[in-house]
Amino acid sequence: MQIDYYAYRSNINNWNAGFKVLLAMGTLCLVIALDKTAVSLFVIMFFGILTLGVGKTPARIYLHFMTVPLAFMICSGIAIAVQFAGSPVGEWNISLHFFYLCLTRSSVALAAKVFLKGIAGMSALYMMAFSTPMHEIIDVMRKLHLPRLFIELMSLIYRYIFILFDVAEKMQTAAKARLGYQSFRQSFRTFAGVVGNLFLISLKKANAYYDALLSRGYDGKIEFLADEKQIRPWQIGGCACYFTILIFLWYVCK
Amino acid sequence: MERSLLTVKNLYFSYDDKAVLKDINVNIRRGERVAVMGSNGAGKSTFFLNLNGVLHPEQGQIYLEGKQIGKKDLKELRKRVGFVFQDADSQIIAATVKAEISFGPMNMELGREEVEKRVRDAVSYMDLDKLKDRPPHYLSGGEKKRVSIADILAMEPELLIFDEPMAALDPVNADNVERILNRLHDDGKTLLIATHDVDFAYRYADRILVFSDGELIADGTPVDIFHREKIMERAHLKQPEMLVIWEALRAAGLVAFDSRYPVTSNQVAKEIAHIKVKKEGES
Amino acid sequence: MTKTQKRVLKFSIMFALVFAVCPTVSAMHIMEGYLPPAFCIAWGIVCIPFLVKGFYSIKKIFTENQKTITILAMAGAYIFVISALKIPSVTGSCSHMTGTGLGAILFGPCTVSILGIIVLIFQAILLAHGGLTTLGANTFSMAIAGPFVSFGVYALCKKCRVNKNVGVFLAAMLGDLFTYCVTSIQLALTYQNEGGSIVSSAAEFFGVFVPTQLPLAVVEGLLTVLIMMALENYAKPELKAIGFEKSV
Repeated sequence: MQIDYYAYRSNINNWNAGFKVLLAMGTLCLVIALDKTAVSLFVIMFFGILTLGVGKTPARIYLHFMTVPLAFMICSGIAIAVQFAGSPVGEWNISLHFFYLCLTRSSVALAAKVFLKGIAGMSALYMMAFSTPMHEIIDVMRKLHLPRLFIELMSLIYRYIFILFDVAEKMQTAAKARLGYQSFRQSFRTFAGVVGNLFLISLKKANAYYDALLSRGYDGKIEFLADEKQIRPWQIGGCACYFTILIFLWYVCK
Repeated sequence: MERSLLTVKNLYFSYDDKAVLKDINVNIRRGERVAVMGSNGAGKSTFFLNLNGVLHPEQGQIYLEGKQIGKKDLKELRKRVGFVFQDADSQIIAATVKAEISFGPMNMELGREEVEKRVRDAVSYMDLDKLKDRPPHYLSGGEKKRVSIADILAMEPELLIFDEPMAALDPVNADNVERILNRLHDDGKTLLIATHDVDFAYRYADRILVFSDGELIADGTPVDIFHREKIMERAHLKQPEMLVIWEALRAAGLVAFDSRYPVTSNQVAKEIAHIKVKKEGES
Repeated sequence: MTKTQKRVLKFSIMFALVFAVCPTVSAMHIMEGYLPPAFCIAWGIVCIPFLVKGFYSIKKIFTENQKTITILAMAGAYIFVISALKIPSVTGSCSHMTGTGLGAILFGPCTVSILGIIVLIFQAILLAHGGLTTLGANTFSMAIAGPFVSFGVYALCKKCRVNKNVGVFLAAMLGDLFTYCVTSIQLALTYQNEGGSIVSSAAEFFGVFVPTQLPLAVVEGLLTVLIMMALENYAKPELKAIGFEKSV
């Protein structure tokens, strides 16, 4: 849950959440809609500077999270670039006796382009994730008039995730202290035990937590006071400039 | 004159056919500090949930300022009787301290300004100004406890119930909580506190309720309760240190047999110093 | 531990050792930016009827008994947390369960579809698994298709009086496999090779992901069996309380 931790420490945490969500979502849509490598590169640079330079998120953490979907990127990259064929139709071919693995210039280019689009999308998403605590994002969704029950479930789940993580961690530590992870065999058994027990604990807690809700006057809806962070004129100006450059880049490449 | 705030008459409650509370009769007066003692599973928590309106008694009545509470008045009861849970985590649901404290007042359907004011007051009462925008999941145990107390204070109840408020706190944080409890008493609140700490109950409470096996087996002043050996044995209690020392001094004839029981360690120390002076004077 | 539990455990360890499991569940989430707008929207639309159905079933549960709000939220948090816990592995790499198979067996597929989309949003924002533009596609594969298959297989096994543990295993494993079949088809539809058919493209994506996903599906199936056994041993009343015995 490192992203959550750093979100509270970011220098751009004090920006308006709705503004950041709009900036990130707008960029995400444009990156896939405009579908240009130049646009992707610009987005990667812009959000890299915004998150690392302005937000001061540690670069080590940022790079680590960029590699989280690595397995997906590699697998899908191979699948996009390589083609199975009965005859050597590509620019580069590897014979596997029965059929050929073919690489064409265009398929490799496509894989690279898609890869860059992915990184660009993640840059935009991370700007938001690394600077906006989840509850503020949920508040933005509330303003978009998503069903109340859905929003309430989300905010409760967000809170409970931390509690269950805590419990799971304690159980794992206790198991470790009793040599529960000594061997591979043991760790497998311990893992299943921890997950099973966690279920029991979560149900028990759910009951106690409902009593606590009731005792504070819960009557079917959950509401809190929420502060709105101000949007400053220069932010709107900057945002407009940024989107203009994006569109301009796309126009030039067309 | 003391007025009765909450009265419980012939209260019975059971979970799945297992009787948890049997024929409870209590009258709690305004401004009292009541300690509730008894071993785990004696029914204290269930008793509190009944007082707070979360559970509904199977039999018996609850009166708030003489007015009987029916099923429709449960909300009223929840407003005027606040319950601070033992585990702060079970209470906290919001993602910032300020939002968390606002939950209770928001449910009371006060105006936004009133909610803001109450949150501000509770934050400053519990000294949470520095933490008010922080998420609860990165707070320490002591800090969470303070937040969970502020939660209830913001609802401005007349009767406050604490379920083992010092459990799992370090000595400094436990002292803090005790100071808060003293302050609440000075501000005229009525307090009901479940505790296993006999020393704390002895020095803090005006009155002790002892539960055992779902029954209220004793109701009296600390000095009275801690002299009733049968009761203490049944409820797994022991005598407070202060009382043990005082009894020893008495047995040795060092203090007068009808002297008043001291409450704090300072008082005992003063008395002992006094004995020394007296002895030196005699010789 | 019972005898069967021991047997399952032995088998899973052997299996894991033989295949030196090193899968990652994040490989099943389609990443941000990988789908063009038309597909993002299309998959989102496909999800809508399921989500609406799921939402109404949750809403019904909630209005019947408000107490379910904390239970539902805990269930969601539970699915998120078990999908984020590291499965022990020989190679020391990170692998995770999807948890949706277990969720579908415990809470039913309609409930899991709503909890699933919430979990996916959290995974995208808090763990960097998946993305927001690909939320529709991921929701369909992981929160709808997988759980429905799991639940269907589980119910079918129950009806045919197949051994309960075998049923749980098949439900969790096939749910997992189906999730990743759907992911392959989703990617194949987007990145069709020139001249190749959708089927051959899908097979290609399928083939590339097999080495990581097949072992994971088997491990998930085995772990789910172990967890269900533990629950049946210790949590019979709780299982009953959430309507587990009744619903299946």
